[in-house]
Amino acid sequence: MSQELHEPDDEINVDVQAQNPQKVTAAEIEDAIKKKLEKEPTELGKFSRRDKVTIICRRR
Amino acid sequence: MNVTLVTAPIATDFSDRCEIASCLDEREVSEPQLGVLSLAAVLQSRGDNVRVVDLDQAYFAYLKTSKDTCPRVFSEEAARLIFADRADVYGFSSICSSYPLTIRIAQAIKAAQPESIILLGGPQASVVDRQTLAAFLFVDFVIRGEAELALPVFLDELASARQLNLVPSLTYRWQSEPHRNSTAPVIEDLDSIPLPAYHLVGGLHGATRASLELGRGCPFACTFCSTNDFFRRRFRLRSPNRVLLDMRALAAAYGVREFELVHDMFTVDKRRVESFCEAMLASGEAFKWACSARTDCVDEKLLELMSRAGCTRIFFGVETGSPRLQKIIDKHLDLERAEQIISTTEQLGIRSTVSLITGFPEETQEDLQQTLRMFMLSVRCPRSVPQLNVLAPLAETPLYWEHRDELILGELCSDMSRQGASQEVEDLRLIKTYPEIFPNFYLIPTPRLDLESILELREFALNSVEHFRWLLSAIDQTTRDILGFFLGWRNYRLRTRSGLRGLDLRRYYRTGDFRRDFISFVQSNPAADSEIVQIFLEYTDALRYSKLGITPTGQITEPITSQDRLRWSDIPVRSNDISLVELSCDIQRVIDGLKLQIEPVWERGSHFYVASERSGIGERFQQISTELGRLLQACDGQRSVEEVSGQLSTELCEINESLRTYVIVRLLQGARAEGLINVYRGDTYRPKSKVGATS
Repeated sequence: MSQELHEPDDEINVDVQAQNPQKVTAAEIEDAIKKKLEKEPTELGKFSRRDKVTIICRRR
Repeated sequence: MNVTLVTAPIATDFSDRCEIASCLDEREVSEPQLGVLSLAAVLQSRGDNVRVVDLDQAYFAYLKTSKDTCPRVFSEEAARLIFADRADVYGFSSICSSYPLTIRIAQAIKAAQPESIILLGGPQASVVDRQTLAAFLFVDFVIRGEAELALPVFLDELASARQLNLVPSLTYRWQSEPHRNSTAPVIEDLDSIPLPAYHLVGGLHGATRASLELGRGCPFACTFCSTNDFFRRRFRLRSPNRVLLDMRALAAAYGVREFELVHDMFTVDKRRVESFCEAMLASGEAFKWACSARTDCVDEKLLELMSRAGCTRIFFGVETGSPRLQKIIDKHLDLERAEQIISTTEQLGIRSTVSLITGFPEETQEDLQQTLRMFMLSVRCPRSVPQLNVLAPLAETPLYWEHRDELILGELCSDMSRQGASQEVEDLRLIKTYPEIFPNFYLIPTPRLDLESILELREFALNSVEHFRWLLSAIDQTTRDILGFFLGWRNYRLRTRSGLRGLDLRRYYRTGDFRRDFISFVQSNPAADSEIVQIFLEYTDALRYSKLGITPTGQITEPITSQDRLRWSDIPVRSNDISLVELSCDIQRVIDGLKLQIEPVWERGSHFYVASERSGIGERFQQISTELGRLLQACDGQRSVEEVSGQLSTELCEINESLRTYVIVRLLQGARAEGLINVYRGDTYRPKSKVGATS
């Protein structure tokens, strides 16, 4: 299979056409790259400032 | 009649810009106050000329324009602002925490316009009406409780026969003595009250949410609570149709689709809550809303329905984790059930606030331990916000009457009364002179607990949770004695920073000094031998190191724009808006264990995370792929794109060699698009082609 992975670029030309392994499709590679860029939220992090306001607004 | 209504300020607790920035969200605090706006709407509907002065908005404006911030100067500024348009009647709302300031502003208005009428209302003035009239001759009248019916009658009498004895709920001077008229009946049909006059304070432009009144009156009678003195115990709800009508009106006018539904105890009648939820679902509007509830007035089924109907946050007043104190304060919650409800709320994705109180006069160390157990349950729920308030003897509550002869005035008081780290001298003078008017600034003795320790516990608990939520959970899981841990910390703090007391202590807990001291203490504590504590210490350390920031080297100017194409000689630099953290295990799995109070599943090996501060939301901490982590590590400002590519090429061994450069360049482009890196133009650019063939 021969697929263009990237539009020719004036600055950085990426042409893997010649070495592209037969078993890997361009879509698979793009999908893998997308996954590597994904961020998964953790439950580690600061409180929101909004919560502090809640304390104040509950007052009478 | 010309009437100026003045809100009760909240933000004035905080005296400088830095404190406000760290403690308040200006937009949230500036949300229009419903009570005053509801009265304004009633008066406008009868043709009165009404002006509303929002003192929080005025305070923020004052902070922005003044060189030196000083609450005393602000009170003069506020008086000038209120007085700018002369009125016949100046009506002040009041809450306990800013009542001294309200009194001082009222005094300044009366001095400037002696013939004007000074009228007070709101929760605080309503309960200390006679004391206020006796102490402050410049205050002419107080209207107690909800005033939508009484205020129009009062204005009519002022304008005509002045038969003040006909005005319900009015307190006034009769033969130089404060005299109370009988109390007006509560307003049964809350639907009859018009939409609050938001337009009188500039509307809700730019707001993402708005407060709306859902109803009034709480049938319960907790000994510390003052709400019944204002709204009484008669439970009333506005109809679902009316609430929806108001929501739609605000959505149409201002685009607001999120609402804080104000009622002290919305969920008293489950059937009516169900009706409300069903109406919200049937409307198809998908409005989001928040409310207050008792844990014994909801169940799993109702919570699920509330969640589907748009409920995103619930305030639970649990007050104490001690069954003994639950009875003493007349709250009578089943605490096991309360825990289940908090957990269910969490599982349904609803945010919760779990409000707790310490400092009850009967409280023992065991009671406090039980309250802290409840506090830590909330800490372990990521969507929950625990609150630990020090008991304030609110005026005229059963608790106040029982202890009014033994109140203690210290530099620190309950955070319910003052959250700021400073105290205005003039306010303090009033508080000292009139304890019967300002009792909330005092404390009640706790014979079985050290009061200083309790005050410090509150500062410790809230600030440590804010910065070290999961570390605190890990310590709790390890020691099973968070109170003992706190007492150990306090001894350490007393040794290392012995001079800190009162407001200085409060300031300390809000600084990086506390955070550094706390980490040093934990590192030297036996709890640090535990693996789960260690991983959070590792996280804290890694985060601190990553925040040192990096600066690109060489001849570098501005980052290139997103339209510019990458060159091999460009210098990719990790953004200073993010922190890159590498940890030795998957920390989310450890958190999962803490949430369930079980031994976590340890997924060892390098795990990368990106922390980013988002204004008004707090810090987000996200896991990223090892490849992206390695890439960001390499983007240290010392390497060009070509060098980054070269370095990573050897590290990303799981990627087919022929594809590595391509993948790295695409990752760089992706990281740049997401703002994780900035790219600077190096001055040694040499075009290169066909990287695959030459690498």
